[in-house]
Amino acid sequence: MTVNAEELELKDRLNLIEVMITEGRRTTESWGSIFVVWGIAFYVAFAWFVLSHSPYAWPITMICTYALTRVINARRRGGQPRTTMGRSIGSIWKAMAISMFILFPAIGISGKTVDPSILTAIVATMLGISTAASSIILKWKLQFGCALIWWTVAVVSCFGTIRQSMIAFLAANLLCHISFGVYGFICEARRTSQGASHA
Amino acid sequence: MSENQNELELKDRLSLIESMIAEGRRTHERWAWVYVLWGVANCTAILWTALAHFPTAWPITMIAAWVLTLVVAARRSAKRPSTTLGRAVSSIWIAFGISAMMLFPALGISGRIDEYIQISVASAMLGMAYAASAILLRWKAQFACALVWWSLSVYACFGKSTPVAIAYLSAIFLCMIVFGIYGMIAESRRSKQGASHA
Repeated sequence: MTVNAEELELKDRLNLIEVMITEGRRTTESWGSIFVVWGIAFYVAFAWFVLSHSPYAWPITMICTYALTRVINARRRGGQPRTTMGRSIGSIWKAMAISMFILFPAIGISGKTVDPSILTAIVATMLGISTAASSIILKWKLQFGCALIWWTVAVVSCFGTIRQSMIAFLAANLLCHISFGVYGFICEARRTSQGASHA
Repeated sequence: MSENQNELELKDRLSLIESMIAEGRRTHERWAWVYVLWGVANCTAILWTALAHFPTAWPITMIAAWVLTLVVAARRSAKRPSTTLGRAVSSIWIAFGISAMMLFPALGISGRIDEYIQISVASAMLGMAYAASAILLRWKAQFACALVWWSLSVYACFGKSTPVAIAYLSAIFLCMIVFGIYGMIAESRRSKQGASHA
């Protein structure tokens, strides 16, 4: 293969990657509703637990939210082909969900006393892994900012009091789930209206 | 666009995805030495701590393993262009690496966690990274490793000290060292086949 042909192939490859990244970022923006749903679910579970001290507050809210996510997923996906970037990001969040659904019930049932702020640190770290991996794939600085926030919450939770850890977690939830999800909504709506005006 | 054309485009797309997955898995096999390196590093740190009760055994071993990984990775990645799936898988491991390097020292310094819960958390996080990569590459062997990590994560919450330690060492051996060697063998077999076809 000549040097020119090789250069052209490399350029094609780079172009394809760029297109895939943009397509993947668009897909993530269109999933803004999922971020908002989970953000609200965390607040509901937290408020329910604080008000009633019910041990079922977290499991019931999480299972209901998971079911709701599946329903939203099934409706959204209908007819739309999946992209490679979409599959990559989906696999990360799926793996995180399975890990959380295995780890936390096991810790709860085992009856071992674990400091609540340490549990917060673990949740924040897992959310940090998924957010960071997804942001690196999509080369999305804003999302990487969210990952940095989750990691900060994890460190604060390891050393701070329960109160400090809860405040940090709830603030991060507002920023990295609800605000980020709403931002995704806005981007998607703007793109849709631009598309309609170009049609 | 007619139905036939649509079907053709879908078939093209599917075959492109299939070839990308195969390419991603090949790229991943080229990185199998990382599993072996980290498996050996983990075993070294565990044995060093157990035998010498040296408090800085873990940080020293982990930092050394990181430096070695970065040096070898920089040499290897300079030679080949990265694929989309290769980038996706590496992003999972980069995110995992940063998180682990932040969480575990913080947990260790704070001293607020039971060591078996720590093993459970580490296993759940490893299970997460293995599963994400396995789902992405549609690789059953790697998904089996994720299942091993998740099982250990549950077992560490309920088991007694010595059996948990043995289970942890066995999981490291199986899912890091054996899996890594399997990847290295697959890669060398493929490069031999490539050389004989050339």
